[in-house]
Amino acid sequence: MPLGGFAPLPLRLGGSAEQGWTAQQHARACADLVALLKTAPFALLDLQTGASTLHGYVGQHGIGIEAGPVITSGTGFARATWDDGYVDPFGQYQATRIKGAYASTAFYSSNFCVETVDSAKQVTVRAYSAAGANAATRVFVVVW
Amino acid sequence: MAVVPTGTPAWVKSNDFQTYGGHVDKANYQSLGAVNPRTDVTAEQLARMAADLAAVMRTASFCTFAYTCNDTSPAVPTIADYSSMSGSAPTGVRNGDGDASFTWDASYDDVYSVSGDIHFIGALVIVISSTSEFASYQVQDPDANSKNERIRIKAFDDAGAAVQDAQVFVAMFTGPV
Repeated sequence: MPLGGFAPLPLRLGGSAEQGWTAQQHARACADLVALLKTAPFALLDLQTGASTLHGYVGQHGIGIEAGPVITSGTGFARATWDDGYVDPFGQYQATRIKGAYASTAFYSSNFCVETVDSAKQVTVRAYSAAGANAATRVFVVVW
Repeated sequence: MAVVPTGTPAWVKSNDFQTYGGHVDKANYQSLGAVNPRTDVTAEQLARMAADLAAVMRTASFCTFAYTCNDTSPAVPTIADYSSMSGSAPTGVRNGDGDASFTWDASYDDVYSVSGDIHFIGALVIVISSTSEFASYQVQDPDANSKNERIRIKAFDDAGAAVQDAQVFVAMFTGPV
């Protein structure tokens, strides 16, 4: 049973479905959360190749353009560079360690894009026309 | 009386670690830890769970599915393996060869009957093919409420021509407005 109003934490596992949290339910929640943590994207970016503009950003460490990486660009590409690491709400630091990325062209056209992971904190997205020419287009990037 | 959870459904992407009970000053009663680690969940463990859940919730996809364009015998696209945070598969429309649109409801309820609006910020669209084919997309706002509930996807070959009967895998991502 929970320890009650005088000692709400530590939470004691057990009790009823309405007033408790059983060991089995807690175990399942822990296992599922860990499973998600292993495969969840690190960040979602709305970029434009050929421009240093970040249109939108959602990251595990924060939401909004101000939380996003630094964007640089050149003909047909945009490059995102994150900080060396980020702190969680409790001040725990974790180094940025990007493993992969995938991008889709987010504008209805016969352009496509490819991506490279340049370092543990940098991703470059390049867009091309079907004929292979550099293309300036909106792209949506998922980073793991 | 049914509980009304804090925050909004996950796909609204507005919850943070505090929504789940995390707090930077979370503490065990009288600073006493677990009496028995097999039966107790401490403030430190709850705080970590809340922060990690908030982190993965932000970048999680709303849904994934695959579809096949029906172009040889023109018909609405066939959706397969639809899996989402809430609700049933979207309504599909064939626009032309390799060209399809999918529209979701403006909002869905979570398991507690709390409603959350849909606003797609992007997608991964991947042509399932053994040849050099690709897809591009555009999110759209059919009800003009400044939130995107539709995606239009077209598959191309390496000459820029539409691909007939394309098969495409889609992951849809929502975000804050």
